[in-house]
Amino acid sequence: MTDREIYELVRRDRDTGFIMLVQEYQGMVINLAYSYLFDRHEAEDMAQEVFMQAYGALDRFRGESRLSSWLYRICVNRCIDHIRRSKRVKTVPLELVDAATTEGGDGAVREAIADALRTLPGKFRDAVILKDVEGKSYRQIAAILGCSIGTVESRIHRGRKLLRERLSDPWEVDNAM
Amino acid sequence: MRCSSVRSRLDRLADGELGNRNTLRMMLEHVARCDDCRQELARITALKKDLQRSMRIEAGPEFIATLLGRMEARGIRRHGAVPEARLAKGIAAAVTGIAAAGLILLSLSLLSPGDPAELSHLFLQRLSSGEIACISEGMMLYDTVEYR
Ligand SMILES: [Zn+2]
Repeated sequence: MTDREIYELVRRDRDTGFIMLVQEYQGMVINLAYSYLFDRHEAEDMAQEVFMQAYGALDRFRGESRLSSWLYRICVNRCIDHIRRSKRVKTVPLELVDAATTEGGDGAVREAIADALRTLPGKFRDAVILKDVEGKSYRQIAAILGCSIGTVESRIHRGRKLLRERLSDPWEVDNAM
Repeated sequence: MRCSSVRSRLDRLADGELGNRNTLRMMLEHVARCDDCRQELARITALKKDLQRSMRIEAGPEFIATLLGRMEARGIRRHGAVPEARLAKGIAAAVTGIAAAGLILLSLSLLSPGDPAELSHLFLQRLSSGEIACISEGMMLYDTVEYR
């Protein structure tokens, strides 16, 4: 469903439109949240908060900007806020052993990538996640981030370069060819 | 093509974002015979694959139901504001038009007429992906397309 169709549906029937919006964007929001929080349950909780905030603001959303970029901004702001607060409260470290059994992929690789992603400036991280995890096109990412396609390209390039620098050498050699 | 100009486009190549056919051909030719550039491309591809494998999660099947429950509990949304039946009907009404156009266009462009196996596969795929929300509406579409 396109943003326009969802927007029209929201105007006619707010609740039904809202559910279509959630269906369309839950993947993007959850994966973005996961790239900040690195915990499946926290990411799902965060995504729920994002959609609840969006529901409350649906009347104010006039369709000038894209739903994807609107949700992106809500999500990233909330994630950053959440991390800031939990740092103040002092967090329990990520339970990586548990995560390795409940979340897909190789635990060690994910741990290494998560560590590298944590140190990446947000604008590079978001571009790389939207491309490599969500599979969005450069054009879609440009619309979400509100920048040009050229900027998307350079953020992805620099983001990947930084990620590789921050990942350990053996990992890179193992995966090189 | 020089290594430096190939390097500056390797991300786009790995991302399938090289629009220009001529550039794409020259890039592939270069990568085929230059070890350094080929290795660099392989590193990008490996990173993409690892990101996809380790950072992608899917919403649980109860995601929307849990969300609606929470919204009701917090008083953000009235209890039963969207009864199941009305919801299905509402979504179907909104989606059917789009799904119909999409399905018919797709059938016209992709399928030879009277290939029910393919059509049924396509229909089931779309139904399970939520693109056709209401079975009876969908069946009508299916009939229309199959017997047109
Ligand atoms: Zn080269």
